[in-house]
Amino acid sequence: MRRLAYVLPILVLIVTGCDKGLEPKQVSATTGTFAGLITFHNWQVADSVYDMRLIAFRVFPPTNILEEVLQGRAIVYPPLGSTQLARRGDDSMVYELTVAPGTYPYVVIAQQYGPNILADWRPVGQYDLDTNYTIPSPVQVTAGAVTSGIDISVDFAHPPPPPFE
Amino acid sequence: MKTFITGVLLALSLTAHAGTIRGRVSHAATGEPLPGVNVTLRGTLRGVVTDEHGIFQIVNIPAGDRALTFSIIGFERQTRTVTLLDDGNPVQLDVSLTPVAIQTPDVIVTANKREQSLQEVPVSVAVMDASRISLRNSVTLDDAIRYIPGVNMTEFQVNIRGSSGYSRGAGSRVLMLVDGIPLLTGDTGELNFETIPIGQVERIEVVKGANSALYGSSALGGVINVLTRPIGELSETKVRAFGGFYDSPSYRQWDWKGGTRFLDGLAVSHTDRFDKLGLVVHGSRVADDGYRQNDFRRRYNGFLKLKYDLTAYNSLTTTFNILHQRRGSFLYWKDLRNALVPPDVQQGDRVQSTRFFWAGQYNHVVSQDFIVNGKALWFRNRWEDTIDTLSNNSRSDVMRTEVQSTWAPVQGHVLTFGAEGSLERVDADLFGRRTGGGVAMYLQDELALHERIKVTLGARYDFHDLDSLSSNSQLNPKIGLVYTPGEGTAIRASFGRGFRAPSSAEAFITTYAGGIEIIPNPSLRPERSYSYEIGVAQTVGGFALVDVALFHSDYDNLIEPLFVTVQSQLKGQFNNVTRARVQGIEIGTKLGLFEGKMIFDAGYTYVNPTDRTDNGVLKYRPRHLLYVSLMGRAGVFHAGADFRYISRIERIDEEFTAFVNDAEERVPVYVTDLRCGVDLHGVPLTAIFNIRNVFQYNYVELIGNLAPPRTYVLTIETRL
Repeated sequence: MRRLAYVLPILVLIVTGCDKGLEPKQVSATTGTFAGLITFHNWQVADSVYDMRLIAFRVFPPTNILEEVLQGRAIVYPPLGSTQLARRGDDSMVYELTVAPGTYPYVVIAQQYGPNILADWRPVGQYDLDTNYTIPSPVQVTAGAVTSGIDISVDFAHPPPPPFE
Repeated sequence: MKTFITGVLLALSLTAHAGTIRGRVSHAATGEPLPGVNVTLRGTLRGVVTDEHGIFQIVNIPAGDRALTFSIIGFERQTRTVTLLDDGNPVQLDVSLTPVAIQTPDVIVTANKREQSLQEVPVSVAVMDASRISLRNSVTLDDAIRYIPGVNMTEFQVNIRGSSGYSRGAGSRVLMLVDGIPLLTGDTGELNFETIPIGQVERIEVVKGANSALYGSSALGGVINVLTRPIGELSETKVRAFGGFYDSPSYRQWDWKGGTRFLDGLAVSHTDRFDKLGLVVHGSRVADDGYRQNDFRRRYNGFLKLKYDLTAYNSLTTTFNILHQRRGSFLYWKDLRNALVPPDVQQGDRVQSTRFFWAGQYNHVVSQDFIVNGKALWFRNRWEDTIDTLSNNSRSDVMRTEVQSTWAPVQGHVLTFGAEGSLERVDADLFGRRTGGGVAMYLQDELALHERIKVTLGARYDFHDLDSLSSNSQLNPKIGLVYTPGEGTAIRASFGRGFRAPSSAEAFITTYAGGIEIIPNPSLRPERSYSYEIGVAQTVGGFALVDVALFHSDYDNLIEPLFVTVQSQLKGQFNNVTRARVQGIEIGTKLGLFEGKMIFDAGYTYVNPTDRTDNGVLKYRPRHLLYVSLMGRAGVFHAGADFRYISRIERIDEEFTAFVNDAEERVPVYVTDLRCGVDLHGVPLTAIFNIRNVFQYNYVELIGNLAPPRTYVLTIETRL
C-alpha cells in the first residue's frame, strides 16, 4: 500500500510530462482537404440573403440542408454562428476545407433566404462537372492530400434544383 | 408529546443550575492552536467548533459529570470528563491533541441535516476543509470542487458521478446549500459559485447520490453543502493577497498578442466580539485579465456575518453577501488555430451581474436532546449581457424559509423533521414575468437497532407550482444502513429518490440564438432519479483508509434542449426526452506516511453512463476520473502536488459541430498542479506559491474552450 504512494505520483509525472494535449491543428492522416474557387452571379436584394454557407453532404439525396448538418451527415463551412461565406456583391472567393476522407456526393453553396435558420435554405450553386443539374458531381477526398479545382458557380437567378427527399 | 414536554421542563429546570465549559485546543507537539476541532457534549445533540485560535465555549450545561469529545481529521480523538458544579462558575478545559496518520470517524458531516461522524452516514460524502482550499488558492468554489473525487466540471456545471451533463446554464441536477439553505438562482435554477466568498468557507461537503428525501428539488445527483466559517472568540484582522500570471501559450499560433496576462486579488476580513455579539466583515476584489481574448473579469464581494446570543439557549445568526461582477464573454473559440480568440462577432460581448443574499438563522436549544432552528433566505440575482448587438437582462428573487427540529426522544432514536416554504419571482426579457413557489415537509429517523447497526428511514413531501406549468407533488423516500462489524470497518447501503422541478429558463425561454428561434414549453415535467449505493470503508494498520463504493442510478424525464418541428418549421425547445442509467464504482484511499507528515490521497471513479432512449453513451460524461494528491510538511515548510485525469468525453451535442469550428477536438485531461509554502506562526505570515497545470497540458472541459495554460500564483496571508 505504501509503495503505491511513491509509484503512482512517478507514473503520473511520466504520463503527464510527455503528452501536450491539443495542438493548433492536429496533423492527422485521418483528414484531407478540398479547395476551389466560388464565383457569384446575379446577386439579389440584400433582404433575401440572410446567410450563405458551403455544405458538403455525405449522402445523396439529402433530406434537408440543416437537418443533415445537425445530424452530422454534412459539413458546413464556415460553421454557423461565424461570419458567412461571402459578402453581398463579391465576384468570387477561394476556399479550402479540411474534412474526413471519403466521397462527398453533393457539395453545394446554400443560401438562407428567410429568418428561420433551420428551414429557410436553398441551394444556389453546386459542384458539377457537366451542365446536367439533376445529378451533381461527387468530390473525392484523400487522407493527407489536397484536392483542388473544386470550383462552384453560384447564380442566384438560376439556382440548381433542390434534390431533397 | 409527553416526552417533549418533559424535555422542555427538564431543560428549563436545569437553567438555574447550568454551567459553562470553555477552553483551548492545541497541537500536542507544537502547542499551536487547532482551529476547526469538533467539540461535542456526549450523550446530547450539542456541539461547537473551535475558532481560529483553538478556543471553544459551550454554555448552559447542566451540572454534574459531563464528557466532551474532541475530534478533527489527522489527530487522535480525545474524550475528557469534567465536573460542573451548580455554583455557576465556568470550567476551563485545555486539551492537546496528538497527530495520527489516519482516523476515519473524525470527519464530521451534515449530510443528515445534523452534525455527525462520517462513519455514521449511509451515503458517500466527500469533505474539503478550508486549509485545502487555502493551500490551492482556489479563487471560487468551483476551483475547489474540481479536486473532489467523483466530481468533474463542465465549464461551471458540476457533475457528480455522471449525474449531469452540460445544459448551457439552465437547471442543475446538483443542489448547492449555504449553511444548509438551498442557493439556486431563481431564473435559471443553476448554481452560482462566484456568489460565495471562498475566504469565508469553513468546509465543503459533497453528498453523492439522490437526496431529495431531505433536501427536495435538484438533489438529483448530489448535494454540495458549503459551510461558512464560525465567528471566532477573539478580535482579529486577516489580510490575504495573491498575484500571478498566465504563461505564454504552448504554440506560436495561439499567441493572440495580448501580452502577459495577470490575475490578482485582495481579501480583508475582520472578526470581533462585543459581549453577546460576534461579527465577521469581509471584503474582496479579484481582477483577472484572462488568458483568452475578451475573457477578463473584475469581481467585488462584500460579506457580513453577525451572531447574537439572545440567551444561553437562543442565538440569532444573520449573513449578508453581495457580489458585483463585470466580465467579457468567451463562448467558444474561433477555431483550433485560434484557440484563445473568440469569433469576430463575439468580440464585444459583455456580462454584468449583481447578486446578493441575506440569510437568517435562529437556533434554540430546547434541551440537551432537542434542538430547533429556523432559517430564512432571500437571494436576488440580477444580470445583463450584451451579445452581438442584442441586450438581455434578468432579475430574479428567491425567498426560502425552513423550520427544522432534531430530537432524540429515547435512546437509539434521532428524529429530524421540519417544513419548508419557498417563493420565486422572475422578471426577464428572455423568460417573462413568472412566479412560483412550493411547500415541503420531511421526517427522518435514525435508529440504532443494535450497537453496530444503524438504520435511517426518511421521506419528504414536496408540492411545487411554477406559473402556468402544471403544479406537481412528490413523495421521495430514503433508506440507509450502516453496519460496523469491527473497529475500523463500516459497511453502508442506501437507497434514495431525487427530483428536479423545471426552472423558469427551461419552461419559458423565448429568444433567438444563432438565428434559431427558441420556444417555451409549458408542459415540462420534473426529472426523477433513483439511486442505490453499497460501500465499505476500512482503516488498515492505522496508516491507511480505503473506501470502495458501488453505485447505480436511474434517471427519467431528463430535460434536454432539442430541435422540434412546429408548423413545418424547426425550432429549439427544452423537452423531457431522456431516460438514463449510470452505474459505476468509486475507490478512494488515504495514506499517512512518515508519522502523518506526508498525506497521500487518491480517488478513482469509473462511470458507465447509458442513454436508454438511444442506447448510446450520455453526453458530456467521462467514464474515468482519477484524482491524486500528495502533501507533506517539514517544520514550517510544506509542499504538495495534485493530479487530475479525466478520460475523453465520448459524446457531445452533435449540433454543436455546425456552430463551433473544430468542436470535435478534445482529448483526455491530465493536469498536474504543484505548490510549496511556509507558515511562520510567530510573525504571523503564510506564503504559498502555486504552479497550476505545470506541464502546460492543453485540453478542453467544454468544446471550443481551451483550459488555462501554466499559471503561477503567489499568495501571502497575515493576521493582525
